[in-house]
Amino acid sequence: MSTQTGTATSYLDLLNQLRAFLTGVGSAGAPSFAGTGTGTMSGVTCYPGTKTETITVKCTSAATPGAEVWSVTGSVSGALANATTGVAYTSAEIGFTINAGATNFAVNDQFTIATTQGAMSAAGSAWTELAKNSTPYSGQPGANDTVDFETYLKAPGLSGTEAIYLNIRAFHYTSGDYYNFELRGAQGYNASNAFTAQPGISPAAYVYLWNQSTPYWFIANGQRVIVVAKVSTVYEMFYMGKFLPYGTPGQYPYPVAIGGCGYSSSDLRFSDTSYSHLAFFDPNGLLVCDSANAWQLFQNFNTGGSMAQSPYNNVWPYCYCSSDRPNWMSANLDGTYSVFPVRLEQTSPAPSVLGELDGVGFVTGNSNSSESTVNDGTNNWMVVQNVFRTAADNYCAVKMA
Amino acid sequence: MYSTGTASGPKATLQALATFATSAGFTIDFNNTYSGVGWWLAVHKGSCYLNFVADTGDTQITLYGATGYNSANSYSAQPGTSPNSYNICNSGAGPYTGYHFFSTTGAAAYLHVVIEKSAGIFAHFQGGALNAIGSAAPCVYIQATSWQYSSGYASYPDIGGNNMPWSYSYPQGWVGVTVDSTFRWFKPGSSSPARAVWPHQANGLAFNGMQRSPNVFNGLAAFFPIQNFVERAAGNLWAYVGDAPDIRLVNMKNNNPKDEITIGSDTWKIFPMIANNPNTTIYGSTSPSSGNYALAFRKNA
Repeated sequence: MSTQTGTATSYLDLLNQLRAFLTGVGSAGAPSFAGTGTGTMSGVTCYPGTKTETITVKCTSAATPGAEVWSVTGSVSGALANATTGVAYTSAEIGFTINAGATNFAVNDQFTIATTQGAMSAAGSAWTELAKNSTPYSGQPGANDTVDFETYLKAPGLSGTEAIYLNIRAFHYTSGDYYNFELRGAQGYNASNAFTAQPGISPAAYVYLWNQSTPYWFIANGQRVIVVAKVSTVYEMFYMGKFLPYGTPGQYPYPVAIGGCGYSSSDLRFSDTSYSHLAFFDPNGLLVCDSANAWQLFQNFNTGGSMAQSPYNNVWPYCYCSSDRPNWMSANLDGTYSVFPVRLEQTSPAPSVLGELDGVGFVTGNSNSSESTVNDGTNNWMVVQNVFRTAADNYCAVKMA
Repeated sequence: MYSTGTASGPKATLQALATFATSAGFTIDFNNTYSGVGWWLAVHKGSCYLNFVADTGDTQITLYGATGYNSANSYSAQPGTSPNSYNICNSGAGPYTGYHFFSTTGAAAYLHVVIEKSAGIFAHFQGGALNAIGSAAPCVYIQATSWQYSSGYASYPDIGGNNMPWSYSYPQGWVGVTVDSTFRWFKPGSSSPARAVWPHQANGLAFNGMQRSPNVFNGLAAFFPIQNFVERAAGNLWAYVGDAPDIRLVNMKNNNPKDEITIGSDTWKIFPMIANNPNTTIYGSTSPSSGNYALAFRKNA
């Protein structure tokens, strides 16, 4: 499991940082230089193949000023292809451009760059971005909306050989002051098809963001991602990917759940306080691919705020029996907290207890608060509230380590 | 560990249980006839003190948990003894078709007993200490079935008077825990602040899950842990104090009594609460049914 915390400058930056994290893109420090030339290195770019090492870029021929030849060597990767001043350089490990300056570079002039492998690559669980689309278009998902970006991701599963198709598109409506994500699961990818027409596509789930600074937490492994984004004072979350099924792959081939903070409404703002705005762990709408590869709706509340019980499909323990919810639970007797699995219990189309979300648990909110850490004796979990709600039964725990 | 055999009635069952308990690491504090009752077996392992009493008519077994043993006191007056109510296993007179004992030589302390009264008709009694959470102690529990075996309500799984172990709605047992500096015996339905939340029978945390099990996609039933919550001294709040060791709730729709299920290296043995008779909730029927309510016991603990 890999984690990344940080702050995004906007909803689009949040998506860009998430894509980089999931696909295992590494990072680099600022290049340092030693030598006589006054040129610069710019456009340092990392990739999923970036390793944790020092990249040394050394001038080996200054015969042609402005087109000097540079050797590129990684302390782990070894010798890479040569670079040339003024020509964009790209390898699997790093990209950059060396720019000529007023004083020419000389032999043995040298740039060094410290690079760090992406967490998902280091864990051997990096996802693949099958396609992206940064050409805006209007009229989806709502009539007033403009789609800014689409990404089509494939997760390798815990085995590394699976194909889990998870798609996100960012959209906004300036007059409505909302900047949201639409989440979709799918059962394949077809480059000829539109975002909403991918093979075996799920209904949409939504996350309600804004176009401002957004602290975030990314938690992912090979089969799912959990994202927590703090928008003003509310916590927007989503879960995409496989859960832990109570069955073998042969019995239950594609146990995928797609959940955000809304299901039926694309046009909500993060500040909405209705029952259409509920986190996936105690949802108005969590989409679950069942054992027959059909997407089923799980909901603990309907949009009117009534608890949704049989024949609905519920998420345990938030909606565990009749009209009962675990709002009575305190901390343990010694002040520690227990974390309970979040279970998917299906009534329709047929009764089944499908499995548990991966890395999300129930924790009481009694004497608890968002962003606090609880330890169950084995793992550290971060406590997160259900959007704006802070009653005792409105919290989940996200496994961080 | 697991043992099975036959017994002529409650007294003989307790005598056999004493031998089994010893092999499971329990110390025998008393194992003999006693004034006013047919047999009294007192055992302990660590801080788990249990008393099992067969009546003079040898028709039922009464359970008491305790926090210690005092040889000067009777079975019902031991240190910190549990209440003398909701503590009877009305197993009836023998001879029994069989008994099934479950325990462990490990650190956990428990004795789980299933009596097969007659072919396909069962009774349960249990005593032990929870797998404690959050420094809860001593977490001693007793549990039993108490059923209207021969009344018109014998086939009603969800009705008062038909009590099951770990039932939220119709409990038959107690759990003893020191909560907020005071030791109390807890069960659902007690007066505040001695109430408990147990997982099943017409309500409880596992009730919906039990109803939604077994899975249609593989025919398998989920095993639900038996989670115990007890009331805090104030605030109308309940704390999780642990689960019962090596026992799970199961919907046995797709199973038969005494089926064994292997999960990894573990073997679990399934018993209905009373009887896995599909003809439930038939007024006047004297054929007992506990519907699909069942317990799975780990056999290789």
